Amino acid sequence: MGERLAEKVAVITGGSSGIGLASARLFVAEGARVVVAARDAERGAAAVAALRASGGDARYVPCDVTSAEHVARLVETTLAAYGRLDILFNHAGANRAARVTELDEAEWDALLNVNLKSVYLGCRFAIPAMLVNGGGCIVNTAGTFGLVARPAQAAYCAAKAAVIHLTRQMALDYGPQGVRVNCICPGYIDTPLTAGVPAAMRASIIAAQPLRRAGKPEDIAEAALYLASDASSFVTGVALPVDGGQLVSG
Amino acid sequence: MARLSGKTAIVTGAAAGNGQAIALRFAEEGCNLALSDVNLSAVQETAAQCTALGVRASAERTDVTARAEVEMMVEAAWANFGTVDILVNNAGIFFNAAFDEMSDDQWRRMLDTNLTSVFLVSQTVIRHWLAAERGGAIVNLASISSSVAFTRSAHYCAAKAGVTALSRCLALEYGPRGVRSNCLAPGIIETAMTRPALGDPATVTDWMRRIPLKRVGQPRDVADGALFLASDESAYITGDMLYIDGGWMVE
Ligand SMILES: NC(=O)c1ccc[n+]([C@@H]2O[C@H](COP(=O)([O-])OP(=O)(O)OC[C@H]3O[C@@H](n4cnc5c(N)ncnc54)[C@H](O)[C@@H]3O)[C@@H](O)[C@H]2O)c1
Repeated sequence: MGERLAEKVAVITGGSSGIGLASARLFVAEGARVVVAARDAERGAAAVAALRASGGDARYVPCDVTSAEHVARLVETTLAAYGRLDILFNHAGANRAARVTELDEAEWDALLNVNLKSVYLGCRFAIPAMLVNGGGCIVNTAGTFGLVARPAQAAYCAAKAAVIHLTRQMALDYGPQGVRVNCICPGYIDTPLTAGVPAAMRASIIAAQPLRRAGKPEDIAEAALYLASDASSFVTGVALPVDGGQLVSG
Repeated sequence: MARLSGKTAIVTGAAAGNGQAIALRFAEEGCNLALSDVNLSAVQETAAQCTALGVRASAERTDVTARAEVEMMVEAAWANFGTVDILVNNAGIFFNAAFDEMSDDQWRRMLDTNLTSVFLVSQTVIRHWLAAERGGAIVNLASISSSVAFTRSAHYCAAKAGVTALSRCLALEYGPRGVRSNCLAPGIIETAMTRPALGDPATVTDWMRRIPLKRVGQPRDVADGALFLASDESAYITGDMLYIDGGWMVE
């Protein structure tokens, strides 16, 4: 067991599967107490059982990150359980590939809510709790699609670009009070979210990346650990691509 | 568990400041170190401090602007340690010069020390890696000056922007063969390089207005970033630039 997050309390949204779960595992292994926030109670319970089996301190809180009521309760429950909140990893998100003309208004709203409003809500309720401790640390999951445009990803690209810029903006507002805000821009990562990508498309994406492989959830978890730990105490407002080099040639 | 155990790193400019902090941080994580600097006695002192942490460390007098010296340094690292896994291109200089008064010599000295050095050392190390059919991790010290302008610093900004571009190209060209190349972009870090400016209250006031975290950075902050980019923890990261600037770049 490491100690890079010793004594810290972390909330991870979307923490019951894929990258979120890999991050929960790593955070727990580094000494954090972790609140897994997710919608699916069965998966949430399974995740927490696995984290506890590894010797970690973890609990599950049901949460739809698009609901202010849920997110407020998530922060309250965390404070009630652990007495503090140091790290918020806003990881939950969703995608549906579509061009603007193919998205009806309800779909647009749903994608913006789950990818962008969720970050606002998490920060809206977590930052006051962090300020009570004299500071804290927020890590948002944006995406390389927030830095470059991709075909038929209208709502997702827009939401992720907004997450990157909101990250910078909040870094400015809360830096003086000791809250750091950073985001990670994952490239192509093998997770349940990308499981449906056709094999030929996956192969062509990988072939275009300098490192010639898909990312693993653990690759993102390590970046989240760096950004959540005191090792990055002079880092705020950054968007860190973890993308196998996908972005070097645009 | 040590995060670089069993690895060997070359760190240039390791006598002081960021380079010294990087060497010591890597040593804490079990990394053997091939250190160099133009200041031999000071880099020997860094090596002694690393050795005291329980790793093997060597110190060479190497001017990173001279190809022959660079080649000797890299050869010696391979001979001493049997392998090199990590290269940190840290050696660098800074001095102010108004553009209209800048001499050819000042321009060349800046570009040679801060940019051509990265070409020379990276090329020498990459040739070794290709010959051995293996990869490795390169960490280049760029700067916020790669991305934003400072007065009386056109030569420094041009050199650092060059480092950033060079680093991305290495990521593209050698990624398929297992080489990762990333930049650290420090903001204002308290070292000999910034000490003169940090002595001027007006400059410090101006800087504090620009830094959301309301402090200058310490070499240890840079060293922790270097550790992340040099270790397998960042195995899927290449061609990036990691700002360690207290938030300077957000505005
Ligand atoms: N201090 C900062 O705020 C800051 C900000 C951005 C980037 N950086 C970069 O960090 C790196 C280290 O700078 P520092 O702040 O630690 O400065 P420093 O002056 O404390 O250390 C630089 C070291 O490089 C060595 N060096 C200089 N020329 C050399 C040469 N030709 N060959 C070999 N060694 C040489 C020096 O002897 C010294 O030991 C530099 O690349 C610098 O540009 C520093």
